[in-house]
Amino acid sequence: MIVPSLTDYFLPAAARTIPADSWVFTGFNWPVIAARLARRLDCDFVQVLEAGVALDRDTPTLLSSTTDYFAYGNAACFQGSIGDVLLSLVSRCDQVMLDAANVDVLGHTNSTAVGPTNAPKVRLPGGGGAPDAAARARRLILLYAGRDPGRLQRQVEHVTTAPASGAPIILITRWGTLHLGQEPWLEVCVAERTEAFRRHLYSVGVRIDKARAARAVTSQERLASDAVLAEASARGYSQAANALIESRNS
Amino acid sequence: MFAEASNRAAPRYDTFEGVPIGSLAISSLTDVVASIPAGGTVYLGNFGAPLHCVAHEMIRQRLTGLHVIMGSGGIVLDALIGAGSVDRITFAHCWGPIGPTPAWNFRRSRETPHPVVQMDEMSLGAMYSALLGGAWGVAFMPIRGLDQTGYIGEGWTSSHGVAAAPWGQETVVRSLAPDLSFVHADRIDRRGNAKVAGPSADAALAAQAARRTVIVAEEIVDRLSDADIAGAHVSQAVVIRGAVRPDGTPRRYGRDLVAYERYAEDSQTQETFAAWIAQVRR
Repeated sequence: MIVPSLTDYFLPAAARTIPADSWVFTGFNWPVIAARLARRLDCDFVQVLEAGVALDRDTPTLLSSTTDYFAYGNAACFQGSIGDVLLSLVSRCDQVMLDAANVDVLGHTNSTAVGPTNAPKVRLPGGGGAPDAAARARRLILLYAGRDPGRLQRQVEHVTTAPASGAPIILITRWGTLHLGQEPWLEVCVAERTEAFRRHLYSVGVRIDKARAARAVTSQERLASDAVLAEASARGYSQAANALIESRNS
Repeated sequence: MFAEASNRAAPRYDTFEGVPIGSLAISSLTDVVASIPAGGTVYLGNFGAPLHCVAHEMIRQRLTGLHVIMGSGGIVLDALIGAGSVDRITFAHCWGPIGPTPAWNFRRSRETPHPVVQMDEMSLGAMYSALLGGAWGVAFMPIRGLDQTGYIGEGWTSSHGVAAAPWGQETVVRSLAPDLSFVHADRIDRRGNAKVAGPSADAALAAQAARRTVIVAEEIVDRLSDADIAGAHVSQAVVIRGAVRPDGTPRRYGRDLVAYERYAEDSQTQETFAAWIAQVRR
């Protein structure tokens, strides 16, 4: 299946969700990369991380993970504890942004196991601080960067994170942006290579008839995305390395 | 500065690296690891400052039967699982952060019909609350936001329950009070006060919750004026520059990404991991 590259829509769309002058909790992997891109597109915001830190400026190098303390440089405006962030500050954040490799239409994610947890086919890494952050999110942004629409399910096998009742839940994928919840719907869809995605959404109960066309990615966004992906690749993000190749071929 | 009398070492009025150390008990890593009680519960910190040097010494000394607590298990917990050092783990997640890559030993230990490592899986917030309960000396602490998840619904840990009071009912987590906490600090002074580099994460709580705390410090100084951990919570100190390598610590040294990638390759199969263990034990 030919799918849109991550710079055709996904990565710029994820960065655009970050409001100026906001406080945004970012989990590991794509949220960290999307936050980097937002800064490169001149968005001024405070990035909150589970270890107990808030960064109000760009770090000297891209964080190789959220606990890459050396890479924080002098970017921290607040340093505290895990409890400060996960049990309190996160509920004051404007937005929580998390990776979602397995997600369902209600906004639950599974990062625990494929198959029974006592004898899994694949043991996944576990939730870390994501369950606490998702449960306290005033607005939850989930990022799925993979190539398989089937990772959006009617119901995940195990619930590692569950959003708070009533919080808006937005899922950004290569193919478009969805609103999840009791009445999930597709808000934005890229123009090409989305037939299989739309069919899948329909099969899991997502309304697709209200979708509007995606806003074109600007040349500035494209250039900044490629630059951030190159940096992420150099900082060990394996999916970013693949995405960079995709972007250059698209 | 000693958490309890039984851990009180005889005061030694001496100097260490030119610093008068007063009554601070400074030990070698070898001796401290050798003192870990058999089958003991060990917090191996910190979140974001994993003490690879302690884990490697545990593997060298062929410790077994431990219950290890780590918020972010990472490759430290993975190595301890692969080396057969642990019977039980309490953790929030476990993976190789660079890539990210799977923690292969962690996966293998579970993707088997007869797992031997017992897993208590908590969210990071719940684990923090459990340590807070340990620090305060209470039996449990309330937590929220997990009722719709498998942590509660599927019982991924034996540590969650429900407690009722006249004012309401709360989901709670059982407190964690490690027998021994290893906590990384940037600096320690002669009274045992310790400064953590970067966010304190769970470091201070782990020191407060444990029956005995060992600070693994990058440097010893005469006096700190901005300590995160009070010397009264500290039982012993080990001074090791590069204590968290191949990870990094603020203003001193960065994370060695290549070493992480190499570990992911070395641990991918039981055969290659056996060679890795042999190298650590050499």
